[in-house]
Amino acid sequence: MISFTSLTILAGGIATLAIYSFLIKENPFYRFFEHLFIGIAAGFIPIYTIKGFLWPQVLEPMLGLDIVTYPDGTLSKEYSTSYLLFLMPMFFGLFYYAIYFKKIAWIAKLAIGFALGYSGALTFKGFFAEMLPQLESSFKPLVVLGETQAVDWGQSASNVIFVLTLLSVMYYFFFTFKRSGTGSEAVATSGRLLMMVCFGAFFGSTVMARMALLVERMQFLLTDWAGTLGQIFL
Amino acid sequence: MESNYRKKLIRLLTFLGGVYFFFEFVLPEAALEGIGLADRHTEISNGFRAFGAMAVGLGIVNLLLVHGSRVLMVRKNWSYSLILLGGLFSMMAVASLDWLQGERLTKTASVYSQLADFSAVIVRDHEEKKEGVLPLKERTSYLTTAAEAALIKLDPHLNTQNVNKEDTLLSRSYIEKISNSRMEAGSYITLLKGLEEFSVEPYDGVKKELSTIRSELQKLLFLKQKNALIKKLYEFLYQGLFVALGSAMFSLLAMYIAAAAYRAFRIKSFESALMMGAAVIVMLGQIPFYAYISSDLPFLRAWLLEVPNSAAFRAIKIGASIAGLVMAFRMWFSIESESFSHEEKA
Repeated sequence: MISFTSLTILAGGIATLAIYSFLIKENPFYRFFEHLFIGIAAGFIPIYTIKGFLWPQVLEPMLGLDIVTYPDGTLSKEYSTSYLLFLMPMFFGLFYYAIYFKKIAWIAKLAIGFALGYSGALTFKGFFAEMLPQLESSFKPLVVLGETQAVDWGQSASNVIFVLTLLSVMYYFFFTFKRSGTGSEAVATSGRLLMMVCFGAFFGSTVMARMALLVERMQFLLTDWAGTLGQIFL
Repeated sequence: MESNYRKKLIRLLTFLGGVYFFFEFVLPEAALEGIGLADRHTEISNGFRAFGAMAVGLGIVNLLLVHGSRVLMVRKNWSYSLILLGGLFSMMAVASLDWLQGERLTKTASVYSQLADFSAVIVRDHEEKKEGVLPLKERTSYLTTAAEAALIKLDPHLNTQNVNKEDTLLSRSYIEKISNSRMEAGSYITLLKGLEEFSVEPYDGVKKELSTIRSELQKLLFLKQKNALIKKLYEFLYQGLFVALGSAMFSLLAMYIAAAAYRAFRIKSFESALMMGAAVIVMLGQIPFYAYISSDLPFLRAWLLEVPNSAAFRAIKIGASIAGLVMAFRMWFSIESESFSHEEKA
């Protein structure tokens, strides 16, 4: 009798092999698991949203289900009718579904417009709350002193390179006026070269991140999956 | 005429959508407190999130329309659509049932934290001399009676039934902690019953022990739940398929990146040589074989990522963010939305 744990491992191995079979060419085995993946992922997200947000943050307080009645009949907190105001955005959110009815499809644009409006304001907030501190912290001290008040040449050089890279790359994208003179061209060129280093490092770390996933899958196939197969068939 | 009215309405709502977060950011804290918004910020943000969360069904409706019609009409590749819908509904059903089961377990364990809270509330109300509540002795009697009943109800849970073999030791440690706290709570309850003069200590003791019972019981119940059919089905769908397929899909990209780089990456200029050099150092610095080449490779890799990469990426990000800020304003004031707001042509 195969246990559920073994069945889970077996399914994981078969699914992994099915996805890798795409490397040979697209085939029904791959397409079966591709569609299954989309279905499972699409089924997981709404329940995750309800479980993680809608139920505990909106529905429970709105229905007063988070209020506890103590043994002496007193309540842990008073019910606030202001929670009923959640019904307004929820009802407004239903406007999205008007898109499926041709005659009233324009109503969906009200909801989409509202979402665009608040995401625009959030972008504004995010820019000042996140980018400005980053910009400020980018201008590092060009001369760093160590614990003995002696110049830390290594750290100072790193900081100089950091600031120069930041400025030259920003300058490269500065198109407001035409660059003239060898000095400005040299700054822009160094910006381009340093960007190449950045892209190279970025490319390398992306490849390695994917490789780490590949290694994990290979380990799973060679140890867990092969081990389970061995237990069942040998 | 009607079209114009709709356009104006859409623009108005787009503007109104951003008003709250804009003013919440630009107005000082004191001004927000003055108009009563500071205390309500979490609820208002949750309102916006609830509005956004309502869109979660759009994806399911779209999948149902596209794949459901393909199955019903037996169009080309209908069998794949059937598999997709099968995965969708089975995950929704199993995840919902697993969540409900988890909620039931949390509810069983939360009885103890509620009593712990009640103990703290009695002390707080007594110290604040709160009016409109029962006298201290009567409330304490309610607490002791309910706590004693709750401690008796622990009996059916204090065993290793339905626990996996590998979790037996862990479950025993939970049972031991619960039993100890139960004994301690019992002695505090006895103290409370015979209390002549108010003292915080036994109330705090009951609160502490009941809170421990709650957390340990929840862990024990979740260990037992691991063997329930729904949990196993959920693990099968989540770990066996969802996680495995996700990892395999993303790791597939490693092959394609490598293949694409092999085909298209040629060192024809100084720029491409720099890019390749940086990539090679970052990749070599991350593998265990770096020691055969140079022991400085991990340091060089870290420096490349932290200094030039981070600085250049930050410069690009700053530029993109300024552009994003301008776009956000254009979107908010509906300057950007001509194509979005105009009516579709028949």
